[in-house]
Amino acid sequence: MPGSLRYQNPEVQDRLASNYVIGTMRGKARDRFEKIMRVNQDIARRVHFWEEKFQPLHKGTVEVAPKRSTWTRIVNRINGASDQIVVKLLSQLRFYRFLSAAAISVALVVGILSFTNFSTIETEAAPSINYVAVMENNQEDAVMVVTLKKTDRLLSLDILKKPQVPQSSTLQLWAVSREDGSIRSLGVVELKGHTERNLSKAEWGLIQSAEHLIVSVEKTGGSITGTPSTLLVAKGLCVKVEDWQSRSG
Amino acid sequence: MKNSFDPDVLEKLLARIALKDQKALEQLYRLVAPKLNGVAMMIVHDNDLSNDVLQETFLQIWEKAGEYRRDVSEPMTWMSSLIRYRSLDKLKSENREQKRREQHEEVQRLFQDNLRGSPLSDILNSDNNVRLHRCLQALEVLNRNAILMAYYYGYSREDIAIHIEKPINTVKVWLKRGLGRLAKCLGH
Repeated sequence: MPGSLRYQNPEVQDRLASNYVIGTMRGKARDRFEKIMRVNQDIARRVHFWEEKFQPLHKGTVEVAPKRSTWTRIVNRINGASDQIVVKLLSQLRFYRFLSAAAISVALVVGILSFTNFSTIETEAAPSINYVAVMENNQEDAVMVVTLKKTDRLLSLDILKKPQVPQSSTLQLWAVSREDGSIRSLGVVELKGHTERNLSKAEWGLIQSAEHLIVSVEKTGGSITGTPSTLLVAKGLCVKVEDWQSRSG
Repeated sequence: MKNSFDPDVLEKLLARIALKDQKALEQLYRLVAPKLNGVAMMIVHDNDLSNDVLQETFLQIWEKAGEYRRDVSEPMTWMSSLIRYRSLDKLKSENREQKRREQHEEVQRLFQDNLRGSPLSDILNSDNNVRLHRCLQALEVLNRNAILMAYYYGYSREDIAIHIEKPINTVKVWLKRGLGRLAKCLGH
């Protein structure tokens, strides 16, 4: 019987479906069957019938606690995809920071819509970036980008759009812990386009456990209370980036 | 499945996951990951491999939650099927089957004293109101055990033949006969 007709036979459908569900259909036959199942609703229905009927066997299956690292790996894989988007966007933002604020806004939109087709700027490869935070203001415009490299614990901060800061004031960067929400200082920020500084070990630890980075406006010299003021100018998720080589410096 | 796997709760979590809600994924993981990991362990019999399979399954749940339909299958059935199929893939890719055959004493007990001593005996005897249990108990021992070895422990037909030292064609006949009778008993 030709394949297409053969699969119309209810008995054949049932035999194939039951063998698929119990797992005795293997290899290429299994791959072929999965393709047929996607287009043949009768066969898919029979597969679901067998899956549902066998499910009570798992009632007594002993639970086995997963390893702690498994959830972390899942989260990293899920966020990995978005990390790559952020990092690609970052390389474009750096290119566009030389343009006007208006052009940056356009670049953001164009970058988000078409980054997959965007050819990245080829420069000498730099050490890999380990964390990145695209910092947004209250209007959700990207105004700063913070990148961190494990090598030399280097923190780089690019100001894409200069915030309005009163005289006798300064900006201060903070890490917000994902564990307990505590906020710790990462130092004052110079109002320059691009700044870099090496973090201490303790500060690097803050980055590793940070959910967000925030930038507040403080009196010159920085917060004397050890906590940020209520005037925040930027906030961004601190995302771990793995195995990514910076191409933009 | 235990009452804690409330299908309404799981369905809502899957709906939120379809909208890419990571908190919902985390809640789902806390609820069902130990059970799903247990299902994988029965097949791959290795802690590292079962955790790999669990990871792949949750990534698949993250990607495919939008395709889940309650009118087609219950949430735990859908997720258990995903992890069983990924476990079978893992066995193949890791070429683990020979090693597992050597390790697996539990299956040996399937063939002793009509299921006594096997963890499955508790399940099958636990609730006679479950139609599957009644139908499996009604099968000839060899037919039933071939089905259970395949479904619960992930044995291929070749595995079963080697394990019980019978020709593969005999195993195929047992499976065909057993599944045919099971289908009738289950009312399909």
